[in-house]
Amino acid sequence: MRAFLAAVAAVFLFAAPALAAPVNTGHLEAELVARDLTIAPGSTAYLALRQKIDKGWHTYWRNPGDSGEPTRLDWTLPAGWSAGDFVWATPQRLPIGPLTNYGYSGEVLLPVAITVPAGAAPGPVTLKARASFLVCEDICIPEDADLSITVTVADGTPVADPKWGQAVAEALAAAPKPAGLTATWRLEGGKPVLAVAGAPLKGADMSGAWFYPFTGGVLDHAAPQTADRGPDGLTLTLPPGYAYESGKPPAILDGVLTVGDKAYEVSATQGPPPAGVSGLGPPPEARAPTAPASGLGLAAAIGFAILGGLILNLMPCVFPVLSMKAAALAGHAHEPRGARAQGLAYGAGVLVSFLALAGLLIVLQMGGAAIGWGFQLQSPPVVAMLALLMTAVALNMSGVFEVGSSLQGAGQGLASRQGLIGSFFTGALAVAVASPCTAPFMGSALGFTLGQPPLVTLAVFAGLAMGFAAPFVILTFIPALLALLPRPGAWMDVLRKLLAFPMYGAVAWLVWVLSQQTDAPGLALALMALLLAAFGFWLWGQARGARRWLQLAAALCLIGAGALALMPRAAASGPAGTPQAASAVDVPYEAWSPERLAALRAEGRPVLVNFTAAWCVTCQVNEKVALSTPEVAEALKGANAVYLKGDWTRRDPAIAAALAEHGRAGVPLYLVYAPGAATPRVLPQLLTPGMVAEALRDAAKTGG
Amino acid sequence: MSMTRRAALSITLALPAALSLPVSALAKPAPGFAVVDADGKVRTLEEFRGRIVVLEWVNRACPYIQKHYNSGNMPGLQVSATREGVVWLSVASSARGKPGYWGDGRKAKAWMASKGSAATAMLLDADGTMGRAYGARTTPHMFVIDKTGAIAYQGAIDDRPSSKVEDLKGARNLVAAALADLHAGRPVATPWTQAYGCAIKY
Repeated sequence: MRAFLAAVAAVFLFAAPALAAPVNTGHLEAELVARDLTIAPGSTAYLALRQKIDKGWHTYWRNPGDSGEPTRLDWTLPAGWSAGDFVWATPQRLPIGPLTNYGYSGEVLLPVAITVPAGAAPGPVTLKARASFLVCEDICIPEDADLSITVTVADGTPVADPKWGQAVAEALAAAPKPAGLTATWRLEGGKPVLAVAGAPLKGADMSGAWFYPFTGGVLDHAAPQTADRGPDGLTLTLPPGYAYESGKPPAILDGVLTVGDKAYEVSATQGPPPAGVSGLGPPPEARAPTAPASGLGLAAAIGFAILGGLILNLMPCVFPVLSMKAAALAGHAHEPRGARAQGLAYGAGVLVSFLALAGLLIVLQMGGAAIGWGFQLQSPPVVAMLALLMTAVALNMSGVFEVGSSLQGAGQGLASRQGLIGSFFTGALAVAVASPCTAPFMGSALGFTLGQPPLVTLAVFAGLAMGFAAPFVILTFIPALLALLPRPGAWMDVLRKLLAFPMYGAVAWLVWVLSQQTDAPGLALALMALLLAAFGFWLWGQARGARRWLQLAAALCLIGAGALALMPRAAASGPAGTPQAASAVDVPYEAWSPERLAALRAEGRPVLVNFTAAWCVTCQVNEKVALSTPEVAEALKGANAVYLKGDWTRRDPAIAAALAEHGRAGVPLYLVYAPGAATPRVLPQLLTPGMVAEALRDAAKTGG
Repeated sequence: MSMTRRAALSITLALPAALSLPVSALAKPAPGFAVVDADGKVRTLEEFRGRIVVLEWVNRACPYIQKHYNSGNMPGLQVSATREGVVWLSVASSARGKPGYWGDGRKAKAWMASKGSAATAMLLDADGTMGRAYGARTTPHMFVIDKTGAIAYQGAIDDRPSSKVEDLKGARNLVAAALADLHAGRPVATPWTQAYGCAIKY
């Protein structure tokens, strides 16, 4: 009962944090704070030493690095109580001239476990500790503080401290812990090589990987650590310290491993490395919040997205849709108000579709899927459905059937609801077909969104949508430009039927994409779906809105076509994975894999890497005009180089990781590795044979 | 039979590798130096060949140096070491304008006198050449060089990394231990430790 009253008193009367006062020691403010306002006898409670360090000053981690001294807490506790060691927060690297220290700046909480004896009497208890800091700027000053905190012992579930409870709980959660990682070290050329593998590292962001040893003298703290990633973990080649130089290395190399924004406790025994810890190359530099890997700020990323969206209008895969837009625009040319409404509806369609795609991308990435831009075309049913949709549009343009009274008919009901909806979906369709074409500027803008908060991703995609929609929307808003278009007339019908053919071309392209992704039966299913759809639409056209039974038959055909289109499945392996001779000239290549790349680089051979996909038209154009040319073939031979192709037509996490490593979210990506060079040369996204040949010759030169 | 042969083979293969490893010491030759001392005289490692040399990195503004000098711990060790023929060189590697920079050798001499230092010389390494050559990190950072010119010990002055005078009680002085081992002709039991103190202000 007394305990209960004490708890009630603590919680309801005071509703204040556990009683403690901060002490300013000169260059930092220190205080003890509590996770729990009330603590139960026989339990473990968590307090924390909170340091608010003056700007420019720092205190130290458990291994202070090249100099310094760890922060210390000497407790004076009532009988039966005991305190554990600090739960050390992840340290920062603090370089000073040629030296490096490990420590903290700003505000830091170091939690401590307090064991409460089972017989602790209910009521307030004051716990005292003397904190000793070495706080350094250019000079070092030892500063002490006598701290105390009053907590309340009470039975029952502990009550969280209103002010610090959450902060201490978060510090505990964020502190590096062992995470079931397998770690080994071995000597290689006099250097300790640490290899770590485990579920938390599988496909993880390993930027800025660093190993902080628990004890000093084991490693050279200031020297660089070189990292190599693998599918299941990473390898760090570490600079040896006195322990290794003296020939008496530690039996167990333990410390904290940081990767990306995560940190884990690692305890490595001597032995061979676990599998899957190397071969993927070094991780990208640490992604500081202000400087993303691609070197782009948010404003610049949005700017590039708008520019990339503009350029998308010119890409080959957008041409069929452009033709549709032109047809629609010609129809509305001489009614400015109606044209404006159409333009806005089209713009809205583009914006909504881009944001929907962004939302899907975010959700899938949060779910841990290794995907990037163009992912929507990696699924055979999606490609088949798109082909179906394009067939419908093409048939409509050919005049096989009409939707409503006259969707794109000139002169009547321009601003009608149906016309606006039509424009909206024209925008959506344009996005669906344009998305696989990552135009040169879009590559880095989309790369920027990887690993960014969802709002940033949405902002970049909105920029893309604005750029994409801008030409058409602007056109509808400037009557002078519209006036340049010819008056509607009989020629409109001819133009519309002519422009149907690029749409059929788009269907043919999508079917070809599908042929790379699925097997022969899958392709047959898709072709049957197209045939059935065409028949259905013809029936619909014959019905002319009057004959019910014909309409019903048409609807059945279309439903059947849709169902068929959903059936093709991704082939387990197919033409996309097997080596094949390039079409223009015979440029032999091998399939890209991180292991093959690492092996070739180890051999000291120059390597040309081409990340491509069947659904990426830019990639196909580049292969045709640049990569599959005699000039490149000779340059490859002359440089004794190997041509590796990474085919991303189907989803592949290793390729997604390789793209992300170079700040890209989609294909194409062309890399040339010179022998011995740490990083490859990234070629532009629009290639010429000369460009590739020159890069290969340069690579061979650096090697020789 | 084949097992024995393989075992024999692996022993013969492993033996040279084991032999090439230093047994306990760092067995690293001490880098040479030529640095002006507080009297303006150029001092080199060469001139002390055949004698045991202690290098002590120092910064008068550092609380750890103050702990070991104000308590008499460091001067005491200097007296006993030099009495047994050891050369003791204090080295100041603070750059111009940084805490611990001497500027004038007379200031260094006056400080040494006031603290009762018994060091053979105070080397003024303001450009940090000597400090970097030795990989000196902290003040104090101690090096013991044996009579053959190899580093026999490097690291902390004692095993209680703290700036508090009360921590001297019960602390094991690692330089004294290394010197005792060398004088007795034993290998140095603890050839290296993690030095503690203030970062050297290069």
